[in-house]
Amino acid sequence: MSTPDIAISQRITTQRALRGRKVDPANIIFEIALILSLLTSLGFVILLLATVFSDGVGVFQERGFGFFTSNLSRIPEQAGIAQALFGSAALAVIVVLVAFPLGITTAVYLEEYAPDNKFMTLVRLNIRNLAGVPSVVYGLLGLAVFVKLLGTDMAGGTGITGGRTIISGGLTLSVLVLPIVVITSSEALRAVPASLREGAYGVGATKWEVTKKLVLPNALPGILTGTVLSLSRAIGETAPLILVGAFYGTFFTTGDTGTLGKFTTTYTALPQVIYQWATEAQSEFNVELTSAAICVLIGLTFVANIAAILLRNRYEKRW
Amino acid sequence: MLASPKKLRRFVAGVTIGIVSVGALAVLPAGAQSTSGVNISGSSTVEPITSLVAEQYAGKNPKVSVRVDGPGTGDGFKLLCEDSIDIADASREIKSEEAAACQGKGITYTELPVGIDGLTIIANKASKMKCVDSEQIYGLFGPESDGTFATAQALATELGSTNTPLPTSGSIKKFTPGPESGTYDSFIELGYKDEIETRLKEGKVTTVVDEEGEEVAKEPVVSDGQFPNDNDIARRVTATKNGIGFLGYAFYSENKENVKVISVLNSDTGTCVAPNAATIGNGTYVLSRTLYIYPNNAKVAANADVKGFLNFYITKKSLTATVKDAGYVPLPAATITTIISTWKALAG
Repeated sequence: MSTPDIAISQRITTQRALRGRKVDPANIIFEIALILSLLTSLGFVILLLATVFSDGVGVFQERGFGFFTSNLSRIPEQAGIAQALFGSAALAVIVVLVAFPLGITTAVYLEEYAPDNKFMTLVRLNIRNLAGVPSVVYGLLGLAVFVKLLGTDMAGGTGITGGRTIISGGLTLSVLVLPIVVITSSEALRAVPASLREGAYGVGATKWEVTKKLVLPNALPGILTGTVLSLSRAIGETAPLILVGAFYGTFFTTGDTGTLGKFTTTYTALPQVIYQWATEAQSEFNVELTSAAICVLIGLTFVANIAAILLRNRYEKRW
Repeated sequence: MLASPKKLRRFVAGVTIGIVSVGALAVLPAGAQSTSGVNISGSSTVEPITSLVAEQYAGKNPKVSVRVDGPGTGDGFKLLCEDSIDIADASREIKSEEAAACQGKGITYTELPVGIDGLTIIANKASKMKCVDSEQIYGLFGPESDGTFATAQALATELGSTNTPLPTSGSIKKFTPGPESGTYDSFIELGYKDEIETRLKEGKVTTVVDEEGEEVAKEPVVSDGQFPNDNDIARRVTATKNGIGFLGYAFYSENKENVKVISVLNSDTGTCVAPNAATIGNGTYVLSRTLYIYPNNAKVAANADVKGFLNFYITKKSLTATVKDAGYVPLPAATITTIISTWKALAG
């Protein structure tokens, strides 16, 4: 507390000198309130990280890499997150493959090609609304469309998504982050100055040439930042995955299906495993292993966010 | 740093190609055959036993895929009767309406007991409560414990409780499982089935008409907080003065030092019995219940993996050592012998 207090008092002294020693109490109160709210939110984050880390660090010390390479187990000393890491990674790949191209092209259309009429305004408004829809709703959508409709064929057999598979889960998460990808990409495209486009048109470039050679390359850093951040949101989701059938229990094996076969059988992801372990009777599960898995999840999202920041700093262009 | 569009494009192209190739590999086997495997769901109480058995089985049979989860007994029977799973875990016997659903689909099953659980009544450490009889359990948790009577003891006395009266205390806070849980049903069944039936007949209980068209208690367990997770019940009782609750014995064992266990009066012997392995096993602790698995008979016949798994499960070793490891009480030796022969007859 002492450093900001000194800073405040110094500034107040300067202000007094300038304003002829008139004190504005409202100003001081407001500034203190702002600092307090900052400290409160910061305090909660630190408290959370500290408890989770102190509860989970024992697992990393005792098990080392074993925690990352073991499968789920009913026996706490043997339980690990290998299956969950595989599931989360596979889900992330599907999101990158599906949501990113779809979202970015949608944003390019909306910003560069779409006419400015009432219908397009409605579309834009709806995309913004979709970004605020609770994730469970996307889970229900995924259950209806990817698991039931595309998961079964006409004859009642297995359809293209295979039902309750990692593919259905990945597609559901893709739809979930799609509006966020569209919005962040749109904003990045809008940040490219109009003068740049006008200059290109002035020398006879076509719309496609302008988009491809000028707008997209210049907007790419912003687009990348937004998409990477949406990916870390997808990795952390629990509710929709439970609805579309991600495994939520203490034990499963996939037998001799091999790495590729894992895409069509039982799967799980990190948030699921955390959720399950938190409900177990033994404190080895509901405190230590849960905290360790949370550390891994926080670590992953942290890496994704750092990557987003680095990408932005590396390629950002100031106008 | 200024952007070098060429470099950036190359970077993005490289990443895209990498991801697309990994993705293509991922999508290719979508049509591949998956092995039959063993698919188990149902009671979260039985899940620890079945998971332990499954893990040992999978260790010896790495080619077989096994999955075990525990959404609840009711959900397990629903899945069994939809032909979605091979085996249902259950913390109570199948209900007539659930059996009817199975019959409607032409699904036959076999009931195999695997262990015993003791429902445990717990109270906050500060509580002076020691022992309760069925009238007092009704007074504490039953449908009329919603404030109609001044105290739980007043209600128990009206029902004719002769046990040592409950200590007087402030307003009691009750933390229980919810109706989707087998523990909830078992608690009513074992705790105060007679009392609730009598009071229903006397018209003292607020009722609703259930799916079967029968009048049942609207709120058979009055609760100040329903938790699907037994740990939450233990935590709430630990933290709440005048808090009481009930949960599975395995969960009580894990929280032993934080809560006080309440003994239950055995009306046959007239003694107060605390739950432990011995009293739950021999049934002198009256809130004991049998845990079951319900394999689908057709799957046993058609799926070699299911048969192999049950051959491993229904053995003396699994039904004693593994059941103990999971925190529950094994069935008596004679019962285990009977169950093994039942299974052998089914497996052929």
